[in-house]
Amino acid sequence: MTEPQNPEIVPFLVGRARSGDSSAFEQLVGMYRDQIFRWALVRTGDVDDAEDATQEALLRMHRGLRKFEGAARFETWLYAVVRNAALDVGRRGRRVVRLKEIYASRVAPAVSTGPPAVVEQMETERIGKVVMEFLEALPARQREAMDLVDLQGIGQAEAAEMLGIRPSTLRVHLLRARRTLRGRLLEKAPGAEEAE
Amino acid sequence: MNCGSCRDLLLETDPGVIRSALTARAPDLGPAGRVEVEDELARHLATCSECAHSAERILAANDDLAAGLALLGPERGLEDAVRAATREDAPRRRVRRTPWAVAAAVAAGILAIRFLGDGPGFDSSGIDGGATPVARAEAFTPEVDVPAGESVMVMESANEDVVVFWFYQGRGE
Repeated sequence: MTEPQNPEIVPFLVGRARSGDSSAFEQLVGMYRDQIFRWALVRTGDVDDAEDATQEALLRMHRGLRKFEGAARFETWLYAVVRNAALDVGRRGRRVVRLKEIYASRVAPAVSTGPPAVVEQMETERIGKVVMEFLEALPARQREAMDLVDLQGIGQAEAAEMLGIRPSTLRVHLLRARRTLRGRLLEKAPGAEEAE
Repeated sequence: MNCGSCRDLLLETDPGVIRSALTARAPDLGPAGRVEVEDELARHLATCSECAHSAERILAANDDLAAGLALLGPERGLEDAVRAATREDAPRRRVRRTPWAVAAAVAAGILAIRFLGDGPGFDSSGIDGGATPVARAEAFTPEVDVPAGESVMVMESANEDVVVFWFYQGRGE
Protein backbone atom coordinates (compact mmCIF):
# COMPACT_ATOMS: atom_id res chain seq x y z
CA MET A 1 0.00 0.00 0.00
CA THR A 2 1.19 3.51 -0.70
CA GLU A 3 1.33 4.61 2.89
CA PRO A 4 1.03 8.34 3.40
CA GLN A 5 4.15 9.90 4.90
CA ASN A 6 2.05 11.67 7.46
CA PRO A 7 -0.82 9.55 8.90
CA GLU A 8 -2.79 12.72 9.62
CA ILE A 9 -2.92 13.57 5.95
CA VAL A 10 -5.57 11.02 5.02
CA PRO A 11 -8.32 12.23 7.42
CA PHE A 12 -7.40 15.79 6.46
CA LEU A 13 -7.72 15.09 2.74
CA VAL A 14 -10.91 13.08 3.25
CA GLY A 15 -12.43 15.98 5.16
CA ARG A 16 -11.47 18.44 2.46
CA ALA A 17 -12.71 16.18 -0.30
CA ARG A 18 -16.02 15.71 1.50
CA SER A 19 -16.51 19.45 1.51
CA GLY A 20 -16.00 19.58 -2.24
CA ASP A 21 -12.28 20.32 -2.52
CA SER A 22 -11.43 18.76 -5.86
CA SER A 23 -7.66 19.01 -5.35
CA ALA A 24 -7.97 17.02 -2.12
CA PHE A 25 -9.93 14.37 -3.98
CA GLU A 26 -7.27 14.30 -6.66
CA GLN A 27 -4.56 13.80 -4.03
CA LEU A 28 -6.52 10.92 -2.52
CA VAL A 29 -6.85 9.33 -5.95
CA GLY A 30 -3.13 9.72 -6.49
CA MET A 31 -2.36 8.07 -3.17
CA TYR A 32 -4.73 5.14 -3.49
CA ARG A 33 -5.15 4.49 -7.22
CA ASP A 34 -2.51 1.74 -7.49
CA GLN A 35 -3.76 0.18 -4.29
CA ILE A 36 -7.33 0.21 -5.58
CA PHE A 37 -6.18 -1.44 -8.80
CA ARG A 38 -4.30 -4.12 -6.88
CA TRP A 39 -7.29 -4.90 -4.68
CA ALA A 40 -9.52 -5.04 -7.75
CA LEU A 41 -7.09 -7.30 -9.60
CA VAL A 42 -6.81 -9.70 -6.69
CA ARG A 43 -10.59 -9.75 -6.40
CA THR A 44 -11.46 -10.12 -10.09
CA GLY A 45 -8.39 -12.01 -11.31
CA ASP A 46 -8.46 -10.10 -14.59
CA VAL A 47 -6.53 -6.95 -15.50
CA ASP A 48 -9.22 -5.46 -17.72
CA ASP A 49 -11.90 -6.09 -15.14
CA ALA A 50 -9.58 -4.58 -12.56
CA GLU A 51 -9.17 -1.49 -14.74
CA ASP A 52 -12.93 -1.09 -15.03
CA ALA A 53 -13.45 -1.80 -11.35
CA THR A 54 -10.82 0.80 -10.45
CA GLN A 55 -12.61 3.50 -12.37
CA GLU A 56 -15.97 2.44 -10.97
CA ALA A 57 -14.50 2.44 -7.46
CA LEU A 58 -13.13 5.96 -7.94
CA LEU A 59 -16.54 7.09 -9.08
CA ARG A 60 -18.17 5.51 -6.04
CA MET A 61 -15.47 6.94 -3.81
CA HIS A 62 -16.22 10.42 -5.11
CA ARG A 63 -19.92 9.93 -4.54
CA GLY A 64 -19.64 8.05 -1.25
CA LEU A 65 -17.14 10.32 0.48
CA ARG A 66 -19.97 12.60 1.53
CA LYS A 67 -21.41 9.71 3.54
CA PHE A 68 -18.10 8.56 5.00
CA GLU A 69 -18.09 9.73 8.61
CA GLY A 70 -14.87 8.15 9.77
CA ALA A 71 -16.38 5.39 11.91
CA ALA A 72 -14.08 2.92 10.16
CA ARG A 73 -10.56 3.47 8.89
CA PHE A 74 -10.58 5.06 5.46
CA GLU A 75 -8.74 2.07 3.97
CA THR A 76 -11.32 -0.32 5.40
CA TRP A 77 -14.16 1.74 3.94
CA LEU A 78 -12.34 2.08 0.62
CA TYR A 79 -11.70 -1.65 0.43
CA ALA A 80 -15.44 -2.29 0.73
CA VAL A 81 -16.06 0.23 -2.05
CA VAL A 82 -13.54 -1.55 -4.30
CA ARG A 83 -14.93 -5.00 -3.57
CA ASN A 84 -18.47 -3.90 -4.41
CA ALA A 85 -17.29 -2.25 -7.60
CA ALA A 86 -15.32 -5.36 -8.56
CA LEU A 87 -18.35 -7.57 -7.96
CA ASP A 88 -20.30 -5.54 -10.50
CA VAL A 89 -17.70 -5.90 -13.22
CA GLY A 90 -17.98 -8.88 -15.51
CA ARG A 91 -15.15 -11.22 -16.29
CA ARG A 92 -13.61 -11.20 -19.73
CA GLY A 93 -11.38 -14.28 -19.53
CA ARG A 94 -8.38 -12.67 -21.25
CA ARG A 95 -6.22 -12.54 -18.19
CA VAL A 96 -3.19 -14.50 -19.42
CA VAL A 97 -2.77 -12.59 -22.66
CA ARG A 98 -3.25 -9.20 -21.04
CA LEU A 99 -0.94 -9.92 -18.13
CA LYS A 100 1.80 -10.99 -20.53
CA GLU A 101 1.30 -7.76 -22.47
CA ILE A 102 1.46 -5.66 -19.36
CA TYR A 103 4.57 -7.28 -17.94
CA ALA A 104 6.21 -7.08 -21.35
CA SER A 105 5.43 -3.38 -21.56
CA ARG A 106 7.11 -2.80 -18.20
CA VAL A 107 10.47 -3.94 -19.53
CA ALA A 108 10.14 -3.17 -23.24
CA PRO A 109 11.87 0.25 -23.11
CA ALA A 110 15.03 -1.31 -21.62
CA VAL A 111 15.34 -4.30 -23.94
CA SER A 112 17.41 -2.54 -26.56
CA THR A 113 20.13 -1.54 -24.10
CA GLY A 114 21.83 -4.94 -23.97
CA PRO A 115 22.23 -8.11 -21.91
CA PRO A 116 21.35 -6.65 -18.49
CA ALA A 117 18.00 -5.60 -19.91
CA VAL A 118 17.42 -9.10 -21.25
CA VAL A 119 18.07 -10.50 -17.79
CA GLU A 120 15.66 -7.95 -16.40
CA GLN A 121 13.09 -9.00 -18.97
CA MET A 122 13.47 -12.66 -18.01
CA GLU A 123 13.10 -11.72 -14.37
CA THR A 124 9.97 -9.73 -15.07
CA GLU A 125 8.49 -12.60 -17.08
CA ARG A 126 9.22 -15.00 -14.25
CA ILE A 127 7.50 -12.70 -11.75
CA GLY A 128 4.61 -12.35 -14.16
CA LYS A 129 4.19 -16.12 -14.19
CA VAL A 130 4.07 -16.19 -10.40
CA VAL A 131 1.30 -13.59 -10.43
CA MET A 132 -0.64 -15.48 -13.10
CA GLU A 133 -0.42 -18.70 -11.15
CA PHE A 134 -1.63 -16.87 -8.05
CA LEU A 135 -4.62 -15.47 -9.94
CA GLU A 136 -5.49 -18.76 -11.60
CA ALA A 137 -4.86 -21.24 -8.82
CA LEU A 138 -6.82 -19.63 -6.01
CA PRO A 139 -10.44 -18.60 -5.53
CA ALA A 140 -11.09 -14.89 -4.98
CA ARG A 141 -11.50 -15.09 -1.20
CA GLN A 142 -8.23 -16.95 -0.75
CA ARG A 143 -6.43 -14.49 -3.00
CA GLU A 144 -7.75 -11.57 -1.00
CA ALA A 145 -6.78 -13.12 2.33
CA MET A 146 -3.28 -13.94 1.14
CA ASP A 147 -2.72 -10.57 -0.47
CA LEU A 148 -3.79 -8.59 2.57
CA VAL A 149 -2.02 -10.67 5.22
CA ASP A 150 1.02 -12.32 3.62
CA LEU A 151 1.87 -9.84 0.90
CA GLN A 152 0.79 -6.49 2.33
CA GLY A 153 1.44 -7.32 5.97
CA ILE A 154 -1.96 -6.28 7.29
CA GLY A 155 -2.90 -7.89 10.62
CA GLN A 156 -5.37 -10.75 10.52
CA ALA A 157 -7.98 -8.93 12.63
CA GLU A 158 -7.91 -5.87 10.38
CA ALA A 159 -7.89 -7.96 7.21
CA ALA A 160 -10.93 -9.87 8.47
CA GLU A 161 -12.71 -6.57 9.08
CA MET A 162 -11.84 -5.37 5.59
CA LEU A 163 -13.20 -8.56 4.07
CA GLY A 164 -16.26 -8.54 6.31
CA ILE A 165 -15.56 -12.01 7.69
CA ARG A 166 -14.60 -13.48 11.06
CA PRO A 167 -10.88 -13.85 11.85
CA SER A 168 -11.30 -17.62 12.11
CA THR A 169 -12.77 -17.70 8.59
CA LEU A 170 -9.96 -15.54 7.31
CA ARG A 171 -7.45 -17.94 8.80
CA VAL A 172 -9.08 -20.86 6.98
CA HIS A 173 -8.84 -19.02 3.65
CA LEU A 174 -5.27 -18.08 4.37
CA LEU A 175 -4.14 -21.60 5.23
CA ARG A 176 -5.83 -23.05 2.16
CA ALA A 177 -4.23 -20.44 -0.08
CA ARG A 178 -0.77 -21.09 1.34
CA ARG A 179 -1.17 -24.86 1.07
CA THR A 180 -2.25 -24.65 -2.57
CA LEU A 181 0.47 -22.31 -3.77
CA ARG A 182 3.31 -23.71 -1.69
CA GLY A 183 2.25 -27.29 -2.41
CA ARG A 184 2.45 -26.58 -6.15
CA LEU A 185 5.81 -24.93 -5.72
CA LEU A 186 7.36 -27.76 -3.73
CA GLU A 187 6.02 -30.37 -6.15
CA LYS A 188 8.22 -28.87 -8.82
CA ALA A 189 11.81 -30.02 -8.86
CA PRO A 190 14.14 -27.56 -7.11
CA GLY A 191 15.25 -24.99 -9.64
CA ALA A 192 12.38 -25.81 -11.99
CA GLU A 193 10.66 -22.48 -11.36
CA GLU A 194 13.82 -20.60 -12.29
CA ALA A 195 14.22 -22.65 -15.49
CA GLU A 196 10.65 -22.02 -16.70
CA MET B 1 10.85 -32.81 14.07
CA ASN B 2 11.28 -34.86 10.92
CA CYS B 3 11.17 -33.68 7.31
CA GLY B 4 7.49 -34.68 6.86
CA SER B 5 6.24 -32.58 9.76
CA CYS B 6 8.56 -29.76 8.72
CA ARG B 7 7.05 -29.77 5.24
CA ASP B 8 3.56 -29.61 6.77
CA LEU B 9 4.58 -26.59 8.80
CA LEU B 10 6.20 -24.91 5.82
CA LEU B 11 2.98 -25.26 3.83
CA GLU B 12 0.92 -23.30 6.34
CA THR B 13 3.16 -21.12 8.44
CA ASP B 14 3.26 -17.36 8.29
CA PRO B 15 6.06 -16.15 5.98
CA GLY B 16 7.49 -14.01 8.76
CA VAL B 17 7.82 -17.03 11.00
CA ILE B 18 9.57 -19.00 8.26
CA ARG B 19 11.90 -16.10 7.63
CA SER B 20 12.92 -15.77 11.25
CA ALA B 21 13.27 -19.56 11.56
CA LEU B 22 15.58 -19.58 8.57
CA THR B 23 17.73 -16.74 9.78
CA ALA B 24 17.96 -18.05 13.33
CA ARG B 25 21.01 -20.08 14.16
CA ALA B 26 21.18 -22.77 16.80
CA PRO B 27 22.86 -20.55 19.41
CA ASP B 28 20.11 -17.95 18.93
CA LEU B 29 17.40 -20.41 19.81
CA GLY B 30 15.80 -20.78 23.19
CA PRO B 31 16.92 -23.36 25.73
CA ALA B 32 16.68 -26.98 24.65
CA GLY B 33 13.41 -28.54 25.71
CA ARG B 34 11.23 -25.62 24.73
CA VAL B 35 8.37 -26.88 22.60
CA GLU B 36 7.67 -23.69 20.66
CA VAL B 37 6.77 -24.68 17.10
CA GLU B 38 8.87 -21.87 15.69
CA ASP B 39 11.90 -23.05 17.59
CA GLU B 40 11.30 -26.62 16.46
CA LEU B 41 11.13 -25.41 12.90
CA ALA B 42 14.26 -23.33 13.27
CA ARG B 43 16.17 -26.24 14.77
CA HIS B 44 15.19 -28.50 11.91
CA LEU B 45 16.00 -25.95 9.23
CA ALA B 46 19.38 -25.37 10.80
CA THR B 47 20.24 -29.04 10.41
CA CYS B 48 18.40 -30.08 7.21
CA SER B 49 19.62 -28.35 4.06
CA GLU B 50 16.84 -29.85 1.91
CA CYS B 51 14.07 -28.42 4.10
CA ALA B 52 15.96 -25.15 4.41
CA HIS B 53 16.07 -24.94 0.62
CA SER B 54 12.30 -25.57 0.48
CA ALA B 55 11.78 -22.77 2.98
CA GLU B 56 13.93 -20.45 0.88
CA ARG B 57 11.93 -21.29 -2.24
CA ILE B 58 8.67 -20.53 -0.45
CA LEU B 59 9.92 -17.16 0.72
CA ALA B 60 11.34 -16.33 -2.71
CA ALA B 61 7.99 -17.13 -4.34
CA ASN B 62 6.24 -14.99 -1.76
CA ASP B 63 8.59 -12.09 -2.46
CA ASP B 64 8.15 -12.53 -6.23
CA LEU B 65 4.40 -12.46 -5.85
CA ALA B 66 4.50 -9.30 -3.74
CA ALA B 67 6.85 -7.64 -6.24
CA GLY B 68 4.75 -8.74 -9.19
CA LEU B 69 1.54 -7.32 -7.78
CA ALA B 70 3.26 -4.10 -6.77
CA LEU B 71 4.52 -3.71 -10.34
CA LEU B 72 1.00 -3.50 -11.73
CA GLY B 73 -1.16 -0.42 -11.84
CA PRO B 74 -4.04 1.06 -13.79
CA GLU B 75 -3.27 2.11 -17.36
CA ARG B 76 -5.54 5.13 -17.15
CA GLY B 77 -3.61 8.25 -16.16
CA LEU B 78 -4.25 10.08 -12.91
CA GLU B 79 -5.81 13.20 -14.41
CA ASP B 80 -7.93 11.12 -16.73
CA ALA B 81 -9.14 8.94 -13.85
CA VAL B 82 -10.03 11.92 -11.67
CA ARG B 83 -11.82 13.64 -14.52
CA ALA B 84 -13.82 10.51 -15.28
CA ALA B 85 -14.72 9.95 -11.63
CA THR B 86 -15.95 13.50 -11.09
CA ARG B 87 -17.53 14.05 -14.50
CA GLU B 88 -19.36 10.73 -14.71
CA ASP B 89 -20.76 11.28 -11.27
CA ALA B 90 -22.80 14.33 -12.21
CA PRO B 91 -25.01 13.06 -15.06
CA ARG B 92 -25.91 9.90 -13.18
CA ARG B 93 -27.43 11.90 -10.37
CA ARG B 94 -29.34 14.09 -12.80
CA VAL B 95 -30.82 11.08 -14.53
CA ARG B 96 -31.90 9.66 -11.23
CA ARG B 97 -33.66 12.85 -10.16
CA THR B 98 -35.51 13.50 -13.39
CA PRO B 99 -38.25 10.81 -13.21
CA TRP B 100 -38.94 11.79 -9.62
CA ALA B 101 -39.30 15.43 -10.65
CA VAL B 102 -41.74 14.49 -13.42
CA ALA B 103 -43.83 12.38 -11.05
CA ALA B 104 -43.92 15.25 -8.57
CA ALA B 105 -44.96 17.63 -11.34
CA VAL B 106 -47.83 15.38 -12.39
CA ALA B 107 -49.01 14.96 -8.81
CA ALA B 108 -48.85 18.71 -8.22
CA GLY B 109 -50.77 19.31 -11.43
CA ILE B 110 -53.56 16.98 -10.40
CA LEU B 111 -53.77 18.67 -7.02
CA ALA B 112 -53.86 22.09 -8.68
CA ILE B 113 -56.74 21.05 -10.93
CA ARG B 114 -58.73 19.76 -8.01
CA PHE B 115 -58.02 22.88 -5.98
CA LEU B 116 -58.77 25.37 -8.76
CA GLY B 117 -61.71 23.39 -10.08
CA ASP B 118 -63.46 23.37 -6.73
CA GLY B 119 -64.51 27.03 -7.13
CA PRO B 120 -67.94 28.57 -7.78
CA GLY B 121 -69.96 26.78 -10.40
CA PHE B 122 -67.78 23.69 -10.32
CA ASP B 123 -69.70 20.46 -10.32
CA SER B 124 -67.96 18.55 -7.57
CA SER B 125 -69.98 15.44 -8.26
CA GLY B 126 -67.83 14.87 -11.31
CA ILE B 127 -64.56 15.05 -9.45
CA ASP B 128 -63.93 11.33 -9.66
CA GLY B 129 -64.69 11.10 -13.32
CA GLY B 130 -65.20 14.35 -15.18
CA ALA B 131 -62.56 16.42 -13.40
CA THR B 132 -59.74 13.95 -13.96
CA PRO B 133 -57.07 15.66 -16.05
CA VAL B 134 -56.94 14.57 -19.64
CA ALA B 135 -54.03 15.08 -21.98
CA ARG B 136 -55.28 16.54 -25.27
CA ALA B 137 -52.26 16.44 -27.49
CA GLU B 138 -54.29 16.30 -30.68
CA ALA B 139 -57.51 18.19 -29.96
CA PHE B 140 -56.01 20.98 -27.87
CA THR B 141 -52.76 22.55 -29.03
CA PRO B 142 -52.18 25.81 -27.19
CA GLU B 143 -49.23 28.00 -28.08
CA VAL B 144 -46.84 28.05 -25.16
CA ASP B 145 -43.47 29.75 -24.90
CA VAL B 146 -41.24 27.20 -23.18
CA PRO B 147 -38.01 28.52 -21.62
CA ALA B 148 -34.81 26.95 -22.93
CA GLY B 149 -33.88 23.76 -21.12
CA GLU B 150 -37.38 23.22 -19.80
CA SER B 151 -40.35 21.13 -20.84
CA VAL B 152 -44.03 21.79 -20.39
CA MET B 153 -46.91 19.53 -19.49
CA VAL B 154 -50.45 20.70 -20.38
CA MET B 155 -53.38 19.35 -18.42
CA GLU B 156 -57.03 20.26 -18.61
CA SER B 157 -60.10 19.21 -16.71
CA ALA B 158 -63.79 18.87 -17.46
CA ASN B 159 -64.04 22.54 -16.52
CA GLU B 160 -62.78 24.09 -19.76
CA ASP B 161 -61.79 27.28 -17.93
CA VAL B 162 -59.18 25.35 -15.98
CA VAL B 163 -55.98 24.40 -17.82
CA VAL B 164 -52.69 23.74 -16.07
CA PHE B 165 -49.36 24.50 -17.74
CA TRP B 166 -46.60 22.85 -15.76
CA PHE B 167 -43.02 23.82 -16.59
CA TYR B 168 -40.25 21.57 -15.42
CA GLN B 169 -36.53 21.15 -16.05
CA GLY B 170 -35.16 18.29 -18.11
CA ARG B 171 -36.68 16.13 -20.75
CA GLY B 172 -38.44 13.63 -18.54
CA GLU B 173 -36.03 10.72 -19.31
